[in-house]
Amino acid sequence: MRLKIVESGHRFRQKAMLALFPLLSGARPPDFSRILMYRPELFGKPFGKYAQSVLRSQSKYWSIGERELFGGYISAKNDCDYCRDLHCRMAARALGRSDVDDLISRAFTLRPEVTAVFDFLDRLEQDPSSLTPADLEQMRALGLKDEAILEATHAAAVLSVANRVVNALGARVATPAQRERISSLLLKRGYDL
Amino acid sequence: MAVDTPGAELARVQAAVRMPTDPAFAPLAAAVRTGGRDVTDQMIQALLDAGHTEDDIFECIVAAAVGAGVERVRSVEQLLGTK
Repeated sequence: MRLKIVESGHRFRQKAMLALFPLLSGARPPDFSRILMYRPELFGKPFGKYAQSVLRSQSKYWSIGERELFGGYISAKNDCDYCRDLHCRMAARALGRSDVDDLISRAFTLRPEVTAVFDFLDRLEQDPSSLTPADLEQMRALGLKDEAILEATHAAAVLSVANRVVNALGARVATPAQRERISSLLLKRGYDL
Repeated sequence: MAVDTPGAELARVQAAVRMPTDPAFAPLAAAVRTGGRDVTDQMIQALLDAGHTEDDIFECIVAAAVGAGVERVRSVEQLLGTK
């Protein structure tokens, strides 16, 4: 990564947690864990709670797999392979699908509401100031409530933030085997540090 | 502490980060806001060479990234008339 402090400048407690990570997951700590655990009060801790609230709490509108897929979709838009792969793996696992690499392009095989949200999130990620009430029509025509649209927006926002941090710091993508173990762990344990 | 609603948790994320005030960070912040792909090793090195610390750079990166996320949520809230 581009900053040595994020690579190895953690405090004792976070160093110990990172040392335990391979025992829990069978994989080396992913770079994003190193990022979250560096000065966690500044970013990692509040961001982890935000991600947990958005991606893991009960929702009347979206399953965990669908919210993870929104995250994977935004990550693909932001050219963040690290997050795209991880969140698509979690989405595939939660949705009971095996087509991880094609899940975004085959999202039409899920509910139509998911692909309608894809179109909206695409415009939101590209230029939030360009959105108009017309952008809501396709989703509302499918019966999506405003609360559902806002929930999907938060799911996208989690990854809008994470993608930028990962891309800017040059976080390394783990091996496929490591990613599989990490995604399994994240799906089970969630994001709250 | 229990996990709260997304809006309340996002407000806490926003309150925790802080953007360095020195204008030298403006190019880095702009590159992060547009997705982070345009951040380069040279950009980081130039800030270090100018006497800024890695902590300053880390603060800039996370603050700019959080700002981009908040901007997107606020845009949709305005569109929906919830803010």
